[in-house]
Amino acid sequence: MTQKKFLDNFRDEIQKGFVSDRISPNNIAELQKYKRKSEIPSMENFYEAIENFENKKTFELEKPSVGYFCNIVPEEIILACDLHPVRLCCEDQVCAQAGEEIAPGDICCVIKSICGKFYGRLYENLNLVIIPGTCDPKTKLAELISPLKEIYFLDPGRDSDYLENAAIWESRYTELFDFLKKRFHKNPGRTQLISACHKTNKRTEIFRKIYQLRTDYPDSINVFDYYIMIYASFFMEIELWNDFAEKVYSQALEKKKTQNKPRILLVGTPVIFPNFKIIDVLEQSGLAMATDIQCTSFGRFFNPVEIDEDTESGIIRALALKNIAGSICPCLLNLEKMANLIIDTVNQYNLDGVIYYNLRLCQVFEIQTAILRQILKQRNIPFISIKTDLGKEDTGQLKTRLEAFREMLESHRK
Amino acid sequence: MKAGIDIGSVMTKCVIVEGNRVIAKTISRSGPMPEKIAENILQQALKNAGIEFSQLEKIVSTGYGRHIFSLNHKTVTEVSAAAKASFYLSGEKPCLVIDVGGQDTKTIEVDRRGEVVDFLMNDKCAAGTGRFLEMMATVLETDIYGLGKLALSATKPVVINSTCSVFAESEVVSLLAHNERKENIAAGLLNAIAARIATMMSHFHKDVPVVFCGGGANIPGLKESIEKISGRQIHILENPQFVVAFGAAIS
Repeated sequence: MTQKKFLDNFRDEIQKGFVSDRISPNNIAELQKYKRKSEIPSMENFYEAIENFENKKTFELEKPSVGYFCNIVPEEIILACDLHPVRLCCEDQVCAQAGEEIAPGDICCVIKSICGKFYGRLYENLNLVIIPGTCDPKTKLAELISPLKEIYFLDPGRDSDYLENAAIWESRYTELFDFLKKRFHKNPGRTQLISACHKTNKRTEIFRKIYQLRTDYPDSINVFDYYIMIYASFFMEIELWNDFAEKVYSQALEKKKTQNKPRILLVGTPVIFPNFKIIDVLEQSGLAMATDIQCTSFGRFFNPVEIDEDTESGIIRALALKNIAGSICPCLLNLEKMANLIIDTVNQYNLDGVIYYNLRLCQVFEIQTAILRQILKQRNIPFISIKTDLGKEDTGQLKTRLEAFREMLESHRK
Repeated sequence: MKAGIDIGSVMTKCVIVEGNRVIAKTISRSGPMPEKIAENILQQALKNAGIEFSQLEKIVSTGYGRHIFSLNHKTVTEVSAAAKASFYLSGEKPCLVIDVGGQDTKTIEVDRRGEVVDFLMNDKCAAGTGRFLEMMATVLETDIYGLGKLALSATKPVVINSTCSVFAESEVVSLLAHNERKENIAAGLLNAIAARIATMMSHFHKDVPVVFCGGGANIPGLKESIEKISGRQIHILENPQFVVAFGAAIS
């Protein structure tokens, strides 16, 4: 049997087991649950977009679609080539279970979910996938899905020092730009790059307003709506997302109300729909997630592209500065810088405590937990680490921990 | 008078206090209908105290079933309840609390005001909990107290490599098949738990007294095993299994 034949049979088996019959209904039921909690009418746009995406309608686009993982892949370069970027990071338990057929059990659930989606033929309409060498599992992921999809492997190294690496990054990004131009028969240049940067900068501007509003008034946009907006940005046309998000912001301004719940900084592995367990429990435990440091939200949107020199190479350097030097992934950001970022955020936004959220088997986050705990303890910053996975069976246990954390924070306030 | 009810994953405990003095305490297995059990043991405690339900000023529930008990006036987590009680029972001094329960093991640092400064709990797996020992005791054809007694007669404790309940069970079965003495296996199991607890303790200040509560404190030899591995003296609080319920009652 040829390798291709073997893979086709394998995929058929996996697909029979779970894909179209199970994923969408599960996720749409979850989506409806959070939609009912929303108090902002224009959030409907995002819920509807996700529902369409889960039903696989969104991929029927006129433009070719390019999937990617991690912030170090520059969306702006994809946009400049008139392609549709789709962020593929996912935390879907049904897909992760299916993905275990390909990636073994003791591998991060994001990788397993992705394998499940690819082998379950949910990404058939993608024209290309860009995979960065951010962490070891992603490096191997490129090999796992390369029989199914055309892959571009982007490896700018794991050192976030700009002065040391600027030339390498510029070279890697330029190679990617050249590859996309050739592959999709496009001929963009400086103008298209600037236009793409304007789009993502507009998104940053809106996100910052929302971020600031939530740090001041966490209930203005509930935590589920916040992460729903973020998830929708994975696949929506950026200008449409900007329009919808602006409307949400305007309506949220009217919902400003002070509340007395302990204000939390959620740091760590990303929260991606449908895996809202941590924020669900956080909410039920009487805590308010005022802000976050995660790669899918703060890490993705907060920094704008700052162009000092508007030549093609100057723009590409600015993209590398934003995406790689500004990365908050522990693969690139060292422990001292991560600790300082947490301390500064807690002080700046007057937060009561830090929840360090660790999805099991994301080793780069897990490995620094004990030292971060000690550093923050020396600064009298209350800290709790939560290690969990995509399953819901530990919800009661997590609730006890987070309620106890809330009681502790409330007693500190007194 | 006030009542504290600790609805744990394995046992449900009730304590009635007058001021801070315990006037009645009752206990029962939680079972599949924990709310009913909680009501029953509350009634039994009222009977033992010789008082009527209407004489209770306040009922505070804690433990995993704290939210399902509809007769309560307030809920408090077992972390706060254990801290509150341990501080009071330690003469209102800072302390480090070890609480080994059925479903989880906690270490809690309590400051000089009696407030929780920091705490650690095991994650979702049963490693390091009373439930782990209960499962291993079944393999050794005894209960957890019998397991502790066996451990006291060990001559050469084995090293149990896994605290994962599933793998540890296989390891114990394998050791029995190789004619290892049950006493040595039991001591190995206690040491495995004790090592995990000692690791948790190492995250906290080392200059405060250590107190031990929860059903796990009643297991013969566990305290000594933790003392040996951590190098710290540990004091078992009076009626350790009722400490959390007492903490709820005085919260």
